[in-house]
Amino acid sequence: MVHGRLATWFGLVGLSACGGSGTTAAASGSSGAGSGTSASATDGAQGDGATADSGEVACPARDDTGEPFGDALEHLGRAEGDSFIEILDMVADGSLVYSCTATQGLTIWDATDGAAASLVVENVGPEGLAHPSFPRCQHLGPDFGAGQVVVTNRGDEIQPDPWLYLYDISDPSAPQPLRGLQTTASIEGVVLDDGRIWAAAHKSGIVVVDDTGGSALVQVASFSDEASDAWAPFKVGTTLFVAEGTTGLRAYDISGDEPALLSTLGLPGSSKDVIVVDDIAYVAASAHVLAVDVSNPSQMTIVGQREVRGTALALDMGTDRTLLVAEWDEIRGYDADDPELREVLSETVPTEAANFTRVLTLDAEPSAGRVYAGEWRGMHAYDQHEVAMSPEVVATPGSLQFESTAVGEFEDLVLVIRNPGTEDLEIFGAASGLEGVTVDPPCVSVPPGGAAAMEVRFTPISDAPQRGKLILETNDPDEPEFSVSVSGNIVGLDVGDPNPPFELTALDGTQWSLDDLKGQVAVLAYFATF
Amino acid sequence: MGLSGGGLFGGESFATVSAFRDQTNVTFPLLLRQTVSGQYADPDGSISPYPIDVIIDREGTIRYLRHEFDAAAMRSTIEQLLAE
Repeated sequence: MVHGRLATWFGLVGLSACGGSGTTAAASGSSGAGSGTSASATDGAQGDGATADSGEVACPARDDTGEPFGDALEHLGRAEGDSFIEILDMVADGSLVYSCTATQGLTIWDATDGAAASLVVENVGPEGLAHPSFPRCQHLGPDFGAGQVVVTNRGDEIQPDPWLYLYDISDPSAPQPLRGLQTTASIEGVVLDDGRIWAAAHKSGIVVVDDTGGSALVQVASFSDEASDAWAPFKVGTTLFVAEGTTGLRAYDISGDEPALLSTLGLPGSSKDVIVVDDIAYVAASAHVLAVDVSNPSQMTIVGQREVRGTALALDMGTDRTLLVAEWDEIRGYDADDPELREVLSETVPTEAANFTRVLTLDAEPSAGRVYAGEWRGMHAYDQHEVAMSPEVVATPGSLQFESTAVGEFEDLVLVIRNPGTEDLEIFGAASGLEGVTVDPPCVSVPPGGAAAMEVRFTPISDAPQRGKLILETNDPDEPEFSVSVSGNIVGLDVGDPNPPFELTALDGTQWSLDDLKGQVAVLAYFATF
Repeated sequence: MGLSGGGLFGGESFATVSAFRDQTNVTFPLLLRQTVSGQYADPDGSISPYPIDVIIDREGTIRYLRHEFDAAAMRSTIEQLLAE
């Protein structure tokens, strides 16, 4: 795991600064009163919004005269709809990108010009089944040869009844509703091939549905057992491989109507997506990605495994055998032929929102050298190039949250810069528009495999909440301007505050209170079914 | 381990959350409350109230608060607090 505990960060190798006052990493999370211990506090207190710690440091200027580093994923552009919320699944076909979204239903983009992709159609959802204002689909399974796509709804607070629905997309600008099926089983991922649908239905296992041309789709078979936890299917000939959550990877013989379980391979994490390329199944399984030899589906074997830095949610094979993975925080790429699945690229998906990006899905079009990624607000297009030698910037923590700090006092947090790349990483400077935020040192050089610490100080000149970005100017070709969220004096309960008492009832009737949790570390995860 | 965890839903019905539990096979406790908005600070300026991840230490003090899921940072914080 990349992220170390704060207390261990200072033991990282390769700690270096480019010179200057040299108080690097003298404190973490410390605070004090007065002007602080470095010139930066005074600079920041002037409130001019400049954040680099001027001190005695002379930062090198960016040198663009040499041979540029390669950029394995070249960001072409970002496009969004009127009120886009959450692209959940996407599949490209040539220059068209089909996606399922949380509130705009089935959407289709024309990405001929990757820098300026445009919506061909949006808000497509089956009448009477989808929410009338916020149609939603979870996953899609195209059969482009037949000009059809099936979309799914797993059932939640917004659209309570699960369903799947078939569209004619021979004219992508006007998808025609064909027929659907409302189910009791919650439907997640789906495969459509020649009028037959195999749907992953969580604990209801595999549901087989046929399009017989009538008024509705027809369920013809199913398979489930106590271990069923089906999320995403992938069909190869007469074998269906299914990523099945905490159960792992399962293989089914689908040569007949009834799916017949061939084998189950337990995997670490929770398996959420699978693709199969040349008899190797690649699985996205939360904290891991895995390669599994499936040449004999009755006896699957792990041949590659890697713990990832993000959370692996979806994957696809790009050019040069680069396994591309949507990891919530970033897109990362791995050498598909390396047993250790060596990381070969990491790409922050740029977002204009204050949030950090949620990269939930991606799709590669190797024939066109294109990669598409879906996030919270938009669709991104990339050109994929050959993986090249380059520096790589990684910063932890991903955001700097200063506690409530009074005027005249300060708080320090440490930002650790790591370089998992192959060339020296240079941070040429740091800047933001936030009042009273300074960085010491403002520039660092980090060798491949090394790390350096930058001390970020918050010395507010008013009680006003501060929320913004710290921008690091780097020589990472992917991220020449690397941003870290910074906040301070935010209203509301925050780190360092006592959590207010609560008494809540669990689904099984058990009562939970803060007092009951005393003496334990507790994780409270607030989320929603939709 | 000394670690507890729960998923909290704001404003959703017992039936919906029960269905979610059955669909997804989650094994940690799922708790119901009226709302999740407005209580915690939002340093990220999020456009959605979800998710909110809170980690509290053995004394009940908030030691981690994010409106965006960051698995690696959460793992790191949990390891640190369990070692304290």
